[in-house]
Amino acid sequence: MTETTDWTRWRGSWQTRGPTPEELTTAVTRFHRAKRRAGILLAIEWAIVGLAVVFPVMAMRHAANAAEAALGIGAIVIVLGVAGFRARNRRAERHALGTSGREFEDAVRSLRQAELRFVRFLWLVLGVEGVFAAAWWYGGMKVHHSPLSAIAVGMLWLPLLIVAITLGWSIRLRNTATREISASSLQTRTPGDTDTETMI
Amino acid sequence: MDHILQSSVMPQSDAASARFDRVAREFGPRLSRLTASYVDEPADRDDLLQEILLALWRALPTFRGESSERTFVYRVAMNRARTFRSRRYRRAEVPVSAELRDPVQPPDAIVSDRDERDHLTRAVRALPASLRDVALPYLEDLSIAEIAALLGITENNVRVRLARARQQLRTLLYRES
Repeated sequence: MTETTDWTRWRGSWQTRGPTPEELTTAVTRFHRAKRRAGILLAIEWAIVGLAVVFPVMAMRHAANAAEAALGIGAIVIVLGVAGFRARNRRAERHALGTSGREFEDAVRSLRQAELRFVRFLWLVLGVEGVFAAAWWYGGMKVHHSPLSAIAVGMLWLPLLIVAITLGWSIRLRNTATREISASSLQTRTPGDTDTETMI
Repeated sequence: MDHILQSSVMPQSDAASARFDRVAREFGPRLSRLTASYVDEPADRDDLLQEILLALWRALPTFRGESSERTFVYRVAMNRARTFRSRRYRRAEVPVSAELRDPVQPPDAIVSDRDERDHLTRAVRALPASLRDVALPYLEDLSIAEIAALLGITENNVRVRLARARQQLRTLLYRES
């Protein structure tokens, strides 16, 4: 068969395939559900950012000294930095979606590499935070000499929990980014991909 | 599908919603075929179609007419399909299904259109990513110039890849002597 005959035949066969009305209805329903879910998740994410800023601001009003105030400001800067990073990445990815395959691949690789750099920075911050918090708690318990109240216990474990969640999230982000970088390098090129071979 | 899409209330402006509705209506069947050529499992296909529709809903407001709308929609869909596949599967390529590896009848022996269509879908899915990326839009009647713009490669490169895709499709579909 000739080149043209093959493609014509395959096109004819290919284009007869289509979803049934039920499949389309299901797809649209799922899309609307996913859109709502995405909107809710985004709202929750920004609410968490808002709370993560409001709490240190309120706490700073009762800061005992300059060191505590600096800690509060540091926390706010980190929270806003993370939120800004995520928003910027989302916007960049949205814009890249409409570009050509090669541009998209470059943009995604660059975004994922930025994520890997961000994760490394985050691990550094979490490590320092852990060392600081351990010394803080150890010193605090020695000073107070008495059993901790429920609130104090909560204050002790809540930051640890946040550190653990952040660590888990960063590991997941790193794994996804690494996988996408290695996959993208295989996606659009095949060995010996040139302009000068037999053409149709 | 028309009434379902038209009855949907979008949080975007009315004009943007109407545009999305029109695009989804016009390209729905093509996008559905596209999902089948990237992933095998019906559940994965549903997930991918949902991801593509979400991506289109987000990306359409950024469309400024630098390319044709058809090219833009395919770009969004194929870009999303690629990331979906790389996230879903640890390996970049999904192994060719055992069914395709089995000796396949010559073209004349293909008993029905549906058989041929299913074989073709599996064969397109089994192509390497770079060949699938040109074969898929070509099967959907996009011109060579449009495919070049879609992928950001030269028209010559598209022709070369199409020639290779044809060879591989023939090998996968028919056991040639």
